[in-house]
Formats: sequence, structure tokens, C-alpha cells
Amino acid sequence: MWKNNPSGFRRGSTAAFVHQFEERSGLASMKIMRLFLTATLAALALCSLPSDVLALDVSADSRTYVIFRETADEKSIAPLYEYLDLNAEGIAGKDVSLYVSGWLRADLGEEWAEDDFETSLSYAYLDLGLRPGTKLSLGRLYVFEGVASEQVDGLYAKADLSQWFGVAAFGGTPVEEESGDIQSDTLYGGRVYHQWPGLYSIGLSYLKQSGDSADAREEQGIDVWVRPVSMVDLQGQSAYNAESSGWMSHSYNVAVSPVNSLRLIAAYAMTDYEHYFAAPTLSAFSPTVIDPREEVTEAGGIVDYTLSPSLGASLEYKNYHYELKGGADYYGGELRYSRTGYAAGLSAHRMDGGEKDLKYSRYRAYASKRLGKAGMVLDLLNVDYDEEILGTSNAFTALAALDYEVAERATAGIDLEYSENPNFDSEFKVLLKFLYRFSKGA
Amino acid sequence: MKRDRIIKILTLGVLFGSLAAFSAYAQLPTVKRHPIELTENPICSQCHADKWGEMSHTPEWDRTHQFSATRNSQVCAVCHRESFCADCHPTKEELKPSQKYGSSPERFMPHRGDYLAQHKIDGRINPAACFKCHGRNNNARCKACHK
Repeated sequence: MWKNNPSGFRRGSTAAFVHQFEERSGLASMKIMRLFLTATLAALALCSLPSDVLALDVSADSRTYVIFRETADEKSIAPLYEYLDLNAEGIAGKDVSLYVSGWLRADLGEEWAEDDFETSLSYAYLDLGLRPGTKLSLGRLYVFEGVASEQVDGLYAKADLSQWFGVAAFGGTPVEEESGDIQSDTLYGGRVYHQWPGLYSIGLSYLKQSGDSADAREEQGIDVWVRPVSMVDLQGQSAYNAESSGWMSHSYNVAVSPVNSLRLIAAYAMTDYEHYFAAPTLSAFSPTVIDPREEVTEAGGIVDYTLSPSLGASLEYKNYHYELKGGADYYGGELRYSRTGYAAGLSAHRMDGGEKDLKYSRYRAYASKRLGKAGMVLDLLNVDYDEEILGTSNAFTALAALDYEVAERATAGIDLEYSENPNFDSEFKVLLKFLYRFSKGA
Repeated sequence: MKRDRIIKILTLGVLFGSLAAFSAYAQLPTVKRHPIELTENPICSQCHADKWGEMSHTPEWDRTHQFSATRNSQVCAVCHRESFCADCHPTKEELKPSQKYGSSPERFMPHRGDYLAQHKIDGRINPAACFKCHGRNNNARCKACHK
């Protein structure tokens, strides 16, 4: 259904889209220009500094995307995204580095989100190599230590105490979305590990998040990696919820390569819903939706065989066993071909849930080719649902991508995506992209 | 509260103690970048017999890299900018990883194509997989329906 809008143009018409693009881009462009100017000046200032005086390596990556698409409620939107990374290493000739990354979005088409301008600072931290084997980071940063996969505003330190032992600790305020229902005050923890380099590693980790009682988290974990012989790898992790006093999850896999061309992987995982879904901020994971009495065990494996230096094949199977509901099986196979400047793949997978509305078959074929400075991709994906969703039993997506190196460090490209799925009779998206990298070395 | 304070003090003590410790056997990399240019999916164990060899990008790497990353994230940093990790593991994001990497179809990417319909099945089969990324953060758009 089309409706007239105050601009006088018929909503949904090309003229209306262009009119709104011009109106909104005028406002958005002011904000964009201010931010771009600030970021560009900062980058240029760093790059223009005499590198031999400050002895630093400076690099920056800029990724710009504009997506043209229509929403489910027939709005023609055109969000512009700018991702900017700045890296300065070896500041003043010392092992001191600064890393900054963030993104912004400005809406150039119809209004579709709560704000027509959005920003996010992914990380911004100072990295200090204090002594060989020690490191201290200060600022907004990511922490990946055992049970902790977190983003904090604080500090993070790591040190190898010897060839056999090491420690890591972190603390600060957790970074959360503004729309989150839970706003925590503090997040801290650490990890200690013992290792025999090249043979085994065992670590103990801890995390505590506090604030409102509803968002308290206290987790403990153990992680292991063992390579008894060169062809066998065993690794995994177990996590314990100290708040609810129960094991959240266990996840382990063992990989065996009896010969160079063959790799056998067996995997096991257990998730206890009562202890795993702690402190969610999304209703989809609340106890009213996720039955806390449920426990799921996953067991399966992968067989991967290298047929030739360019061709590989794999088969995989996974069984889901539930304590309360019926089980499910996931299985399929893949062929991969790759050589310099060319890649292709074929895959077919089946999800066989316990009920008819939990079954689908997924097929994919892709190919990519580089010709000099140009690259092209064709990616086809089809999912057949055993039971219709919104009156449709199939979802098909075709992606064609082209990119071209317009300069030594600059690439421009366009992605065209067409889809027919349960939510859209036909959906067409256009993504324009421009990638630029600049650097200056000491 | 007292227990919390004790744990905080212990954590800070470990932190500052580790900073003051001398390391005779430096294991953390002091190089910022891998000295030799690598091809895609490097098998690190071909050259390294120590902890560096744990990072081989075998075919199942996309499904097991979390074990290596939570043990040796500093080794990841030798080859990858942190923004590469943030593309799939952000606190706040609006673009799917596959939208940024449309020119790399060989990479494992979650949510390719129309995932809105498929997630209704995957979310019931294995909600834990969704929770890792969307349980506490990066779920503003999910809330449009999951109020």
C-alpha cells in the first residue's frame, strides 16, 4: 500500500526517496563531516609527524559502507556506516602503543531507527610493554581470558612469570549497550595458567560482575589444551556459575590427524540452561522462554580430507540430546576449492529437529575470482523449510559482489543482493563500499 | 561484601605482583607482527613447537578458535587487528559480519542470507549459541520483536 506524505511525493516513489535523501543527507552530512574532519585531522596529524623523531608506526583503516534497501514496513533506507581504526605503535621509541576503533552510522534515507545518527567506540586503549613478557593495557578494551570474553573500560595486565606459569588480571566497568536493562558497576577477574610449552596448558579463570542484584555474575572456569603427540590435539573449557552454584557448560574437542591429508574431530558439549543463561538483557533468554530445567548435550564430529592441494572435502554430524524435549540431528557436507586468485565451494546441510517446524535443508554454492585489480563473487544460498514460515517454505539469497583496487591502498566495491524469503516476496539490497588504508612507518 | 573486598584485593595484588615480576623466559610476543608473510589459514605447528603452534588455522578453526583466543589472545594480535575480532564479537553493532565480508565467501560467517526466518529454528535448537553474542549485549535490534 502506498500513502501520500507531506512532501507531496507519493510515498515509496523514487522522487520521494530522492527528496528525503536530500533532506536527511543535508543534516546527516553536517555530523558526518564534523566527525570525519576530526578523525582525518587526527590521523593526518599523526602521519605528518616526523617518524624518525617520534619513532612510531602509524596506520589507519577506513571502511565506508552505504546500504540501500527497503524495510519490512516499506521504508526506503540508506544508512551510511564508517568504521575507523587508528593504530600508533612504538610511541617515542618505546614499547607503547595506542589503538582506537569505532564506527558511526548516519541515515541518508527514510528514518528507520530510533536515532538517525549512531556511534560506537569499540576500543581505545594504551598498550604498555613494561618488560619482556609483561603487558599492561589501559582504556576501553577487550579481554579474552578463560571464562571472560568481555569489553571493559579499565585495565588489563598479563605476565609470563616463567616458562611454566603466567597470570592475567583485568578490572573496570563493563561496556554495555545504552539500551541494556542492566547497568553494572564493576567487572573484574583474572586467569592463572601452568603450561609445558608445546605439550599442555591448563588454566583457571575467574570473573565477577556486580551492580544490581539482578545482573550479578560470578563465574569460574578451567581450560585445557593437550598435545600428547604431534597428531593429536585436545582442548576445551568448563565454566561454573558461582551465583547459582552449578556448572554452566562443558565444551571439549579432540582432533586427530593420522596423516597430513586427513583430520578427524570429535566434539562434546553440555549446557545447563539453569546456570548458563545468567543475567540476560534480552527477553528471548529469560526463564519464561528458556526452560531452566532443560539440559542439552551435543555430540558429534567432523571428517575433513584434503583431496589435493586445492581441493578439500568435509562431512560433519552433530546430535542434540535434550533432557526434556526431543532430540535433533545436524549433518552435512562441503567441498572447497581454492588456489591463488580463485575460490569456490559447495555445501549441503540438514537440520532435523524433533518437530516438523524445526527441520530445514540448507544449500550453498559460491565462487570468487580475482583478475588483476578486480575481484568478483557470486554466492547462492537456499534454505528449504519442512514447514512453511509465514506461508513460505523457501528462502533464497543471491549475492554478486564486485570490487576494484582504485589505488594502492584503496578499494571500491559494490554488493548486490537479491532475496526471496518468508519476510519478503522479493528483497533487493545494494551495498557500496570504500576501503582505504594509510600508514606511516618509523 | 567482605568476601568481595577480599577478592578485589587479591585480584589487584595478582595484577601488581605480575607487573613487578621479572620474566627470565619471555613467552609473550615482543614482536608486533608476524615476521614472515603468511598465507590464509596458516598451520602454525609446521614451524612452531611451542605455544605458537597451538594456533594452527585448521578447517574447524572457525568453530574452535574461542579456546585458543581465551588462552593466547596476545598471539592472535600478532596477525590480527583487534577490529577484526570486533567485527564478529562487538558489544554494539548493526551490520552483520557477512555484510562486511561479502567479498570473502570462503570465510565462515554466521547469519548469511536471510537469517530472520532461520533463527526461529536455530534459536530453539541451540539458544546457547545465540546467547554468546546476543545474551547481554549487541541485542538492540533483537528487542524490536523480543520485547
